Amino acid sequence: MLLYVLKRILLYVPTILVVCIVIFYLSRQNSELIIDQMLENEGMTDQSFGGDDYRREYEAKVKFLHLDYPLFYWQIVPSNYPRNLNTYIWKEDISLARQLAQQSYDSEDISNYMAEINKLKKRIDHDVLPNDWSDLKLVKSRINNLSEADPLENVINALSSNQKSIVLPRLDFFGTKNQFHFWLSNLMKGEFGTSSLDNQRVLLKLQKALPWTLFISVFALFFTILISIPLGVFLSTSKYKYVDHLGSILSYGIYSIPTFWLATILVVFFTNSNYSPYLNIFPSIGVDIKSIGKTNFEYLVSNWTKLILPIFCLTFHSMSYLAMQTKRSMMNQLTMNYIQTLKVTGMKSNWIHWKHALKNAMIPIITVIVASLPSLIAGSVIMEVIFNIPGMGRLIYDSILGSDWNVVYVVVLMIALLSWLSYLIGDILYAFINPKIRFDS
Amino acid sequence: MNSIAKLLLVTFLFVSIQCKTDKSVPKDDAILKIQLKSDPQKLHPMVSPTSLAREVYQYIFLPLAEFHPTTLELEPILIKEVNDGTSIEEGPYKGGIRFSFELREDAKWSDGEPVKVEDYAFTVKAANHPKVNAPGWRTYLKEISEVVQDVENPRKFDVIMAKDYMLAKETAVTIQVYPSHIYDPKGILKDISIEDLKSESVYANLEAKDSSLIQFAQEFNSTKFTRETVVGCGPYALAEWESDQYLVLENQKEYWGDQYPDNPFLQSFPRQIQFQIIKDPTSALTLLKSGELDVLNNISSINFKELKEDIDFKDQFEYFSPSLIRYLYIGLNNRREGLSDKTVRRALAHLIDVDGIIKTLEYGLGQRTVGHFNPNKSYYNNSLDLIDYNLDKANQLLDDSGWKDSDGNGIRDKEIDGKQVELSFEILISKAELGRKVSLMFQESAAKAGVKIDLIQKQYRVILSDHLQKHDFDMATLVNTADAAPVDAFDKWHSSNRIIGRNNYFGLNNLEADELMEKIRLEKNKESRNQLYFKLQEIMYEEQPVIFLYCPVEKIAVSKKFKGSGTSKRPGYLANTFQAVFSEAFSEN
Repeated sequence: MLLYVLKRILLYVPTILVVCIVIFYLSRQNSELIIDQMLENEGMTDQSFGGDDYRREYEAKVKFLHLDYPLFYWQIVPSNYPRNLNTYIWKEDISLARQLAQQSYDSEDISNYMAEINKLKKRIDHDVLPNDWSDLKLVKSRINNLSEADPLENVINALSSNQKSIVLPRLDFFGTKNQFHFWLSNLMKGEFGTSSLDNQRVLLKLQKALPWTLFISVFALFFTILISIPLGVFLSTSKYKYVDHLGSILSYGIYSIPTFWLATILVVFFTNSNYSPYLNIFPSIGVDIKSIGKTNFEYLVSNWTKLILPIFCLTFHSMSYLAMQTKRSMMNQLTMNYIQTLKVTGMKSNWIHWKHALKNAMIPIITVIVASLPSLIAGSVIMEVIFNIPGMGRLIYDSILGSDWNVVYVVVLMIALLSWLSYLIGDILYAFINPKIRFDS
Repeated sequence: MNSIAKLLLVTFLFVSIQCKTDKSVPKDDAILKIQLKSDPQKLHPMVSPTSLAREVYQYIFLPLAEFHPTTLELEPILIKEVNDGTSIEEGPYKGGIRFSFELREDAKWSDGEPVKVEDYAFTVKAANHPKVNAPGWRTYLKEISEVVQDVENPRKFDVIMAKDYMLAKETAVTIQVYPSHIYDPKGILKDISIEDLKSESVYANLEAKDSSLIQFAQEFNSTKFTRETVVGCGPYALAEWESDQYLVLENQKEYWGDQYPDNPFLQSFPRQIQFQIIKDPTSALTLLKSGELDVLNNISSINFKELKEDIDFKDQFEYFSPSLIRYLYIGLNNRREGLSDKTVRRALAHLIDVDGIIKTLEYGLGQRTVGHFNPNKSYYNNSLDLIDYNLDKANQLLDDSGWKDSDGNGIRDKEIDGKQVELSFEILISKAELGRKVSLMFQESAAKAGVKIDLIQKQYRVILSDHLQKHDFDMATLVNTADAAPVDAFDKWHSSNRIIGRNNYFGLNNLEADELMEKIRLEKNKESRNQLYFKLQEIMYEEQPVIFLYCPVEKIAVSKKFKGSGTSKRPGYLANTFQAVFSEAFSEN
């Protein structure tokens, strides 16, 4: 068994590494937006301020975040490509360098060309200069009569004459001074970075949010299992056909109710006396103000009444699905020969159903339960937004809306890890329930 | 099975009793509960000057002066009076302006220390520190060159600005002042001049010699000062802050501002202001109705109307709908074929039923405007007629400018440089529902006049960076938000800013308008400036560079437990001025 578990763990290591690379790559895809967002939050907007000030502040941020380093340990690019496009820093410069490289111009000429453009921009009124610097023919025609642009013209001639007809791939190594290495090293040290919205450590934000979500999700999962498995067994073994039909119709009906709608209805009707004083059963949404001196646990427990409705919504929704899965799986088992044999031996039907049939029917049920484990951490975004619960779901929601990608990617990584862990637990449980299931068999 | 049912019943009853117990907690009406749409993240005006954070920190931090909520004129707060300054005719700051101010004797920080000139100087220096995360302030304050303390009177000081322009005074006085003894206890910035911090090379030398400059910036940007230590001289102090849940401000006992009861910024009527962070508008409205919230702003037009008409609630709340210093418009790229002709632009303006939009989409809650100024401003030109929705007139104008449907396909066209060009445009819309609906109404009526309009939906940030800034667009539905300061139209409308990288995205190019904008920037006399504004509006009206629609109004409901009023300034009210009705009655008795 131990060997089996170890093999499963090792099998997942490359997967986790790939997940890390994908998450890192995604996080770098919108680094421009992240910087724009940071500058906007700090009072700087493209719309309200002139271009030069914005560019200065933007470049300072790029350096601060080490985004001027190469992306990865190595790269394979066409041989004319600049070694590190990120050294250009300013977003439009990077885009121009890339466009020129795609036109097969030499990297050194590209660098000279861009340096000359910047010099020219400082000497001449922008109005007479072209908007698109990647079209060399257009640039040449625009600067034709400008004596200040002679050096630029020379560089353009050099660019054109050195344009490659055949471009071979080139492999560049950057060593450990690259963005991925910095990112992974920090991750290994447990430094998940800080939120770009409020400078708080991401870990601290997770620590605050996690207990709320765990409280809701664990209870919801507990009640779901507690209700749905007996219900599924009951429906599958009922002697009366109409009970089975009614149960199925009800379950499908409940499952098809959108959770956001159910949650809104509960809030509107059961948290105030607008519609009837008798319906005002539950406290209003949100959690109470934390009193000074209260520990986080005490604070959480003191708000338990506020968590009833979200737990109810989550349970209500997943309960019907799990009950139907249990019923279907049980019905399969009940048609098996061993059940008939057990019946012939005179064993009590309850014993047959609960001890033998259910055990064998557990495989698909475990799959459903295990698949829902990652949501223990991810929380239910809709529930937490509607009920104003400061858990993981709302943290993700706020972070996405606020473009706080540092938080989003850490949560995504956590969910990936938890998914891996839950499948591992699932594999172990399968093997435990049915010893015939083994990795090496 | 029976025992399980009993157990469930008992549990339910227990839960219900528990829940009901919560409801019986008595309420203190001197606590004002307000909805915040999101967590303000940082309470640090320099590092995070977002409108959301401002809703909270405006009660903690104070500037030298601020625009009065009703008159919208500058009201002195930390200084005795605001003056227009004197132009500098000679010396190193020739062409600049000098403002002389005197701090109030009794102004104190929440820890009891007096507000000093050093604090103001520190604030300007900190904003100019290149490693402080204050790009907005740094750009805003770049013209302040020196803060000079008077030798004889330590409360008097001069603010010297390198450039004299219309918003110099507002720039000098409207920034929130920080206590230097809290935010820079070691006095790291004390002996460094503002100009040294501004100069890249000088600063680099200073930083190389003294690493404490970096440490200062790191600490100043950190959560220590964005969340943990938030100290100002305003009427309230931060008492509690639970991320994404609530913030509690408590009024200061024996507050120095109590000496100035007429100054709205120094009042502190509610004992406590609780900001409850509620993102879902339906939940917020439910809380308002159940009395868990006292103030709710930014209510949707339909909900606002229903609330006002609801028998159960219409008498429970005061309703305010102040006009906002904001306008909605359809930006037109004046460089594009068709849109470069002002007759076509005017015809398009006749194709938008603005009154219909206000009536159907805003339930009558909006104020039309002919231009880029708020109709409530003294310099709004009332002599200009609002452009009416008139299909015949639009057809006539389009015919006059040579756009006719020559091929009978329902879209007007015209021969330009030997090519047949159709009068067809794309309008960029963000995910905002209002912009989409406005564009759909525009599309429908434009089609009746033979103008084809296609809607393209993109993220606002993409519209800004990939289209407006690169001049790659035909039309876009946009909103412009301003503050109470006089409008400086230069950046957005002057022809020198038509190039890529500057802010005249729409490409207005009118020499007379340019001249007026330049004069307005330098004109200090209010009356003379207003005359220039009137003339500028006439030209803009004639040019029709964009289609101005209307100024939306804020929609606020305030519990009748409090007495207060609305203002055009965001968020539409000043919470510190809300007086609890019961306490007033109590004091009268």
